[in-house]
Amino acid sequence: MFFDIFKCRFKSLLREKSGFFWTLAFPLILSTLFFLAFSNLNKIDEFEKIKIAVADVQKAGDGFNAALRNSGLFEVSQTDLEQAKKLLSEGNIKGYIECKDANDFELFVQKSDFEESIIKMFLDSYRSSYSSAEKIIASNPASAKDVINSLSEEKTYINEMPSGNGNSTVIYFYSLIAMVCILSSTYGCSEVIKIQADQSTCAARINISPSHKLKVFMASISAAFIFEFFVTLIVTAYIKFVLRIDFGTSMGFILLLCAAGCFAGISLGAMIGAVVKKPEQFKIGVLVSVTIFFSFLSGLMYENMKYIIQKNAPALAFINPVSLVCDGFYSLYYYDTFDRYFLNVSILAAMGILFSAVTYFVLRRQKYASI
Amino acid sequence: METVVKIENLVKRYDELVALDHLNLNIASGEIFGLLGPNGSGKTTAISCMLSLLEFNKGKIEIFGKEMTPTAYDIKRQIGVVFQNVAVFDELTVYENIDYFCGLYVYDKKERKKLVDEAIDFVGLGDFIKFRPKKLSGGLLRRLNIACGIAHKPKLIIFDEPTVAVDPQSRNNILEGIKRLNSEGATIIYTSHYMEEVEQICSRIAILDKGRVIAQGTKEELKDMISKGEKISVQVYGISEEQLAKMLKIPGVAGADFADGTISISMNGKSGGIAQIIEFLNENNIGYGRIASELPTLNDVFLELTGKTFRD
Repeated sequence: MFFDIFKCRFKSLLREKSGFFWTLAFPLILSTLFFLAFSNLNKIDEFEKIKIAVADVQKAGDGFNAALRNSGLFEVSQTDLEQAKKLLSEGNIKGYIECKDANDFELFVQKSDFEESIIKMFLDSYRSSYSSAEKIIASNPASAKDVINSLSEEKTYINEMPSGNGNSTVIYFYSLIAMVCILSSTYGCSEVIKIQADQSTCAARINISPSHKLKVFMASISAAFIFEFFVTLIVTAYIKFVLRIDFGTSMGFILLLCAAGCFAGISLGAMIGAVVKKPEQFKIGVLVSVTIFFSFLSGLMYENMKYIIQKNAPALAFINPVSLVCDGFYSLYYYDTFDRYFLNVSILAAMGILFSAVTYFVLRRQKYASI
Repeated sequence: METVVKIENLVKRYDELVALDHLNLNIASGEIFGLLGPNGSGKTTAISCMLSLLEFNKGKIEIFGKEMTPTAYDIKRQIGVVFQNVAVFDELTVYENIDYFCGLYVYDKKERKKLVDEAIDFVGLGDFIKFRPKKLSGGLLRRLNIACGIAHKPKLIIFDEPTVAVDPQSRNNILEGIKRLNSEGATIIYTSHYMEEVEQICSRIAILDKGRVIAQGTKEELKDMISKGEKISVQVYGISEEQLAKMLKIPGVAGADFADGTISISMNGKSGGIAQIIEFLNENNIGYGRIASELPTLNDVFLELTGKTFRD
């Protein structure tokens, strides 16, 4: 019986066009729009090495050459003066450095911009360090070795960041997936309504049958869960593999979080469907309001809301299933450890179990004064 | 005969409104039992209580000799219901819908397939098994609704106003189908506010008003309960006051009036007097044309028992 009901309900869900639109097509469209809107913002975070030429580098010595190489800022072409001028005039480099002595350089650029400023800052820094070293050695020859070592140390100008770290727009995509998970609550509510005799004649038909209504419900809600889980995976896969939004490395953790999110969402909907003793439209209205409110608090509509909640009412973030899913993805992306991730998955699972228990006890005792 | 449904002193209140007021019913095996009453008389409430869909305040319901409760699955297994509103899933095909609802009763796939095929044949939906409900006409949808209710071959079938908003041809099909199910051994409970239908198919009838059974019996027994009998209309060229007074003395004649060339004669409850009237007309040389006889209806029964008509 379980599998037959499961199969029928799964078929029904697949054929429900409006449900498909809101749970699958709408998030796909929205994620694409997010991607188009945020793609330029993401490019700012990428650093490309500045192309420069160095003329007569042998006059500056090995120290200068090493400093250029170790800075990580430049893609250096070593040329003669004529070649450097030609490269600059053709726009192939941002500037060239003419070396005249160990500490005498001249910088030539075509315009004064961000990248040209970086070249100048590097030269100024090098000159300053070199002069300081000369003075120290002149006054205290014994420290020459230490000074040389100090100058030889690699100076870091750019930091190696985890992939995507600092890209705050990923929050929108994570919130979107979290919203899809929690939108599964409409299916949970709908499956409860389908076994409440006072809500529809189909439900009355189920109630008069010799099949236990909670067994029918279990089969139906399982079908809804599997359906919604696949829908969430499709949306996640689209965002990860087509839009190439970073989720960290482990696909297994993503699957687990999606499953926990869908479980919490479906059971939330089922509980609202069971507890609210009003007509179907009212129940759906309550549910949509709750999910939209949760999504808002998690930063779907306004990114900073997430931080406002975490700063002012952190407990709220731990009882908001949308925030829990969203933060779960963010912790996979941001943190090296999985503590926060597993905490969120555990809370989602606990929520799902709690909501399911409430649903069970309400439905088990439910009798109808009127139908 | 074995009692299939026994309802004793059933009371159901909606706040101040008493929907069922000490309702008593006994339905025997093999009957087509009609629950007749105007809208709001308590028919559907009685059925819902009978099926344990509704809580009730007082009384006892036994079906197949056992108390009916929400968990009386062995009783539920033997009951089929055809609701007034079509109860099917829009996303499933005709076949899938029947299979789904039959599957709530019959878990064995092979047996279920056989039953579903038989139900499809019974309602004549063989050409539409892959159709979704939205593509079916109103009549075909009603047939699907019936198939979903009866596919598991129940011993007791409840039809709750199945012909509301149905075209005459589909209505006849439904009524014929009910007779066939009954002839195959099913006990039928048929609720309706269409007295003609109830008269047409029911072997016994209970008339409900304000949640109470005001009369119960065969249609003949119900009609015998009232004083009103056959009404005979005779077109005549003329009749004198004297002849009219003489007519009132014919045994069984309760009243006679002449107006617009027609004599309207009311007979007493159990009398059938058309032959006597014709004899009287011939004996008195009263020339006559068309003669019409109108038997009392269940509406007349309802009118006499409650002082109002079904449509009031």
